[in-house]
Amino acid sequence: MIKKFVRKRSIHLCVVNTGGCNGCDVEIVSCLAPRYDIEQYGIYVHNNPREADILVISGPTTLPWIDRVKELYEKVPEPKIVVAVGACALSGGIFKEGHVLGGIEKIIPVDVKIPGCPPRPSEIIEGILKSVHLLAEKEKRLKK
Amino acid sequence: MASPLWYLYIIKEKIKNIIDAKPNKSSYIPPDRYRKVPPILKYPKKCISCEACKESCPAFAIEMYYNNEYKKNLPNIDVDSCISCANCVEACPTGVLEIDKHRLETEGLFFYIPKSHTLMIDGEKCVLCGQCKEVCPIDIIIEKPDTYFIEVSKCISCKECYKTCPVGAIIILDEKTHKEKINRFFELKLKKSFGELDISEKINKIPHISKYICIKCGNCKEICPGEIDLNNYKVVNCLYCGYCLEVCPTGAIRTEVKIEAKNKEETYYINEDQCIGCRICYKVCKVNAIEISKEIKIPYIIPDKCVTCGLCAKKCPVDAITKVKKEVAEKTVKKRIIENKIIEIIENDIKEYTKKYGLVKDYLENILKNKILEELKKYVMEETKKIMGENGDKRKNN
Repeated sequence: MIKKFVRKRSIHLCVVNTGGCNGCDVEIVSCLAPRYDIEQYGIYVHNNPREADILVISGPTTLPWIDRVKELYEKVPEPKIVVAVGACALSGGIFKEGHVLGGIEKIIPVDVKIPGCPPRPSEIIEGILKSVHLLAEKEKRLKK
Repeated sequence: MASPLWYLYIIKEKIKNIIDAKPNKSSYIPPDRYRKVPPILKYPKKCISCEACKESCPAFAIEMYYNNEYKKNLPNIDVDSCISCANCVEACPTGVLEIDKHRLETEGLFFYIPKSHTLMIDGEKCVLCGQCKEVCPIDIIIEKPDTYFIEVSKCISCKECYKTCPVGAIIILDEKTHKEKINRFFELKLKKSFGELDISEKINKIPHISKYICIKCGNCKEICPGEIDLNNYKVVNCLYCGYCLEVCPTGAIRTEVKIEAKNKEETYYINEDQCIGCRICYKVCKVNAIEISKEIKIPYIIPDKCVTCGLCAKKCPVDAITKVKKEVAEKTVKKRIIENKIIEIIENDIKEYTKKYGLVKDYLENILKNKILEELKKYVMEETKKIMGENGDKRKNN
């Protein structure tokens, strides 16, 4: 029980931009600033997939990024959660007609979707916090 | 303040704060004007299935699906790709969609409706039938003396007018074709700047510019080796190279205008028993499909030329004009056409005959006149010689 309680409060993020317009990344960065302050919930942005719990993906996944994203997903240790941020990561958004995959869901499983172009920082924090309880559940499933 | 309940409440709040590690909840709640994701179908009964929302969406998030409950096509908004720009809410002519309170706040304000296709009416092809005006769901097509005109800023690009136009006078400006033409333009411009543009005669007519659909992009002016005056829509100096035709995004610069009917199976037909011979249809027709029979002095419609615009049927005071299949109309009209042709041939023959008769007559008269004059002159000369001779003899004798 203590482990579950603690696990909820120490989460490591890895933020990946797969070729978007950077709007979502700016919103994620503003989560770090004092106004929203993502660290008060025990969430740290390391940008190192080897020690991350949650993979935060933004952008429409351009064609060269497909293999990279798969690689990054494999590098993250179990249990892992994928959070897709913004309209582009969900379905391609305004880049639908370009040379993009359109939706990260086609190559890796997504646990939490945050729509919006771009979503507000508060929405991103809400989405990440709601995904946290999944970590403990996944860990349980792994033990079995 | 001093009541123990109050202290209990504060202690409870503080413990809660520590456990949840959250400050006040207000930081989560978005401010009032924030647009929620996504827009919703608030009044689906009002929807007229015009697809204005689909046209205006920059993220291609809206698609039309048939709804069994309302028995019409309703927009379906894809939550994932919606960027909540509220274009669809502002574009909707009947106010079906709603996003927060945005529609109420912006109602009545001027707004250039965004769309991926722009419609324009080609005035040179327009036959002034007015079907587009009847069909338009938001009444933005204006009648002008020589053409109809679409107000581009208010148009929602539902393409109803495009579907009903009998001659294809309405053109669709598409971003894709625009891009292709501009790419071609830059190719040619590069060649021109290096001096590699080969100028040989490819067309045999001087092209003209239609002022109704020219958007003054200036592509033709820059590529032309001759001279084009865009302000007055005139080609001043032409070298017959034909590059301007390849580069124009709307097809406004062209050598010839062809008015062709979309509907090739039907025509209008004048019932000769009902017709009163007022000839209003003959004056109104813009494609010259109506001719007047020389035998019975009543107009008839040539099925090959008719574009089925229905203008003659609308203006007819006794409703003698009806829409029939082409084969039916051809049978009855053929007689009139052949009749007319025979009469025309006879009339022409008579005209030529009379012309020739007149010419011959003139010719003969001239010859006769000249001959008479000459002979008269000869006679007079001889007489004068005689008289002069006699007088001379007399003088010599004296």
